[in-house]
Amino acid sequence: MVESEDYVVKKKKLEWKGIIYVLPAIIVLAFLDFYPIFESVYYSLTDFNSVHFFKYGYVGLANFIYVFTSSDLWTVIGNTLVWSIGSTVVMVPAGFLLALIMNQKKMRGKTIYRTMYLFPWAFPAFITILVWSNMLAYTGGVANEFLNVLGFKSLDWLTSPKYAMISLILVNFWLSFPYYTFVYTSAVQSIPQELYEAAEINGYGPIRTLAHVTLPLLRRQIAFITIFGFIFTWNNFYIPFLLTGGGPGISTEILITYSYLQAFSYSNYSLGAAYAVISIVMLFVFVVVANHYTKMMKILD
Amino acid sequence: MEKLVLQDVVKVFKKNVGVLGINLEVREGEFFVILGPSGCGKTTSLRMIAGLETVDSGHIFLDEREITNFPPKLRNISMVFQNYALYPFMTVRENIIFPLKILKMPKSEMEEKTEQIAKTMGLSDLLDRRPGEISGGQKQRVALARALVREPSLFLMDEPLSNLDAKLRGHMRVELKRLQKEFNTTTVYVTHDQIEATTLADRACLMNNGRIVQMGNPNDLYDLPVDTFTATFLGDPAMNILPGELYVEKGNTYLKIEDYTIKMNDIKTEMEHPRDVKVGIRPEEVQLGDDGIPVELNLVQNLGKSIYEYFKTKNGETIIRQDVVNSRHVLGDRSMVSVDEKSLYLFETNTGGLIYRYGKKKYQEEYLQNAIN
Repeated sequence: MVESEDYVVKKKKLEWKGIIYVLPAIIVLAFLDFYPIFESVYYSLTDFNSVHFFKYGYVGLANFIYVFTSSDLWTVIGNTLVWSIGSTVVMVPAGFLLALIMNQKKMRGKTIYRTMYLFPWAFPAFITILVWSNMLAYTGGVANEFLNVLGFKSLDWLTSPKYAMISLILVNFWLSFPYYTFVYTSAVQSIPQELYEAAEINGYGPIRTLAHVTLPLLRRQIAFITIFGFIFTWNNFYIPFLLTGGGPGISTEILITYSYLQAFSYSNYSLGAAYAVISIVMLFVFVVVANHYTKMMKILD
Repeated sequence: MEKLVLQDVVKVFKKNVGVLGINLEVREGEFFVILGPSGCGKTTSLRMIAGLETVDSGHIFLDEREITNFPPKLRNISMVFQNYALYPFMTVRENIIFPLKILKMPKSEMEEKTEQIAKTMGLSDLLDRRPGEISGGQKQRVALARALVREPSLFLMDEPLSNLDAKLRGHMRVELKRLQKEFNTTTVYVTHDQIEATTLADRACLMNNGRIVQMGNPNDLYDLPVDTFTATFLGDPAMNILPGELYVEKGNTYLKIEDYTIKMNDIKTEMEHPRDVKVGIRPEEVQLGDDGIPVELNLVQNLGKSIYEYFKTKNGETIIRQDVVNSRHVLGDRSMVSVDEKSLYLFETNTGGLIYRYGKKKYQEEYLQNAIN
């Protein structure tokens, strides 16, 4: 091969005209993404609350020092982890499993099932959450009636620190897995049929095909969906807020609901902002580490 | 000995034709080609042999054992797919070893077999690459290696060359034939490409609309097509088909094509009324002369080694003629297409069935009987 100076790649000059074309996107990003983030970081460094509503000032890391020395933080972080991990490990694999079942070649009535499992997801969430709230009620709730029929004692589904988080995860599981089924369905369908057939002809049964063909092929997608499921659940506000309101005590408070509690129930805006910032930083670190190990972002290329 | 037998095999589809009862026998060590246009049922037939498609009725035997309802893994069959079906996350080595991994085989033996087949296929240097990093032809070789490494009882190929460019396809045709003779594995090969069929096949069958139209060695299919479908499917450019009329006068038989009449010395018949027939002439047999069907040169297609001349007759029929490149015909040239009884095919107008081919008495007898009725 002939090498000459003609082939040396020159450093590109910045095209100023190009900036004009991306300017609208930059403006939208700046106002919708960066401005709120910087604003909340700023609030977390002030004494903005109901007392200093009109005249608040910079207080340095006082809010963070307060938060890190309070015993609530570690409880709330623990709750957030249990809530996010607990939900992710049940709903994401369940979605995957159902997607696999729904994509079987010989399965009949796929359209009917797809419509059916779309319901929990398509129905307004706050209504289903209210329905669940009734179902899990201590007296007269379907869940306890059912337990009584089977000869078990009633459970404090939502009102005991022991079961409240489990109930939340259960409801979240029920609400979320159709979404993951849908997402996985498109991933599973992207696998050419021939790859399965080649395995079948070579004597691979369903379990071995799953282990040797499907899972390795979808490695990145699975990582991506799991990690984003985790992030989404971490910030999933309305289930704990509507079902238990963080209670009993703070046993089901997660970072996002606790931040809301501080900011809007106690009008302690700067403290709420501090919790929000802690949440964002934790998630950011998590995504960077997770991406480093799974290279999941490559599916976006 | 019959290796593979299909008996009245039927597959019904709601939307497509499917397979409407095919019978065929493939002999031990034979390279058998199923040829046909798209949608004729050839791939479905192959998939039924592989067990990827259920059989609605009929029987399939392999090595004198009925396998009709066997799952694919009990059939000991290998298959090469049109899009190679290689696993993108595995290296070439892992792809080739894939069929062996499931057999209870010592690891050293697996690796030895892989190395050996890779050497035969010229893949030794590529073993640690992934399918995304090698060319189409190399992928095809890996797919073949993966199919051959297991030493299957039967080898199935579903249009394996159709994704390659023309030059590579020609090369791989030679390679495939060599490999098949080397391994001596009975092979069933599906294609819509008549050149692949004629170059590769020991025997071939031509399918259309879910049925086998004709079976035999490729030369027979070309030389003695049973009907106009086979006649026009094999050969490029396709055989010219013109309407004609057959009649008897004073004990002699004549064929009239447009205004031109030739005496058919080979046909002896007593029929009273003239009969409409279809006349077939291969483009390479078309001769220009002083006497014949008047035509005008309409279009010339240059293929480099030869040219195709498209003539138009007075009635608007097209006659294609294959000629040497430096022929001096110009568009608009008028000439005469002379017809020789020895190079003619005559077909039934309604059914398209062959009724006459010079020197083939069998078809003439059948035709004469039809004429008397």
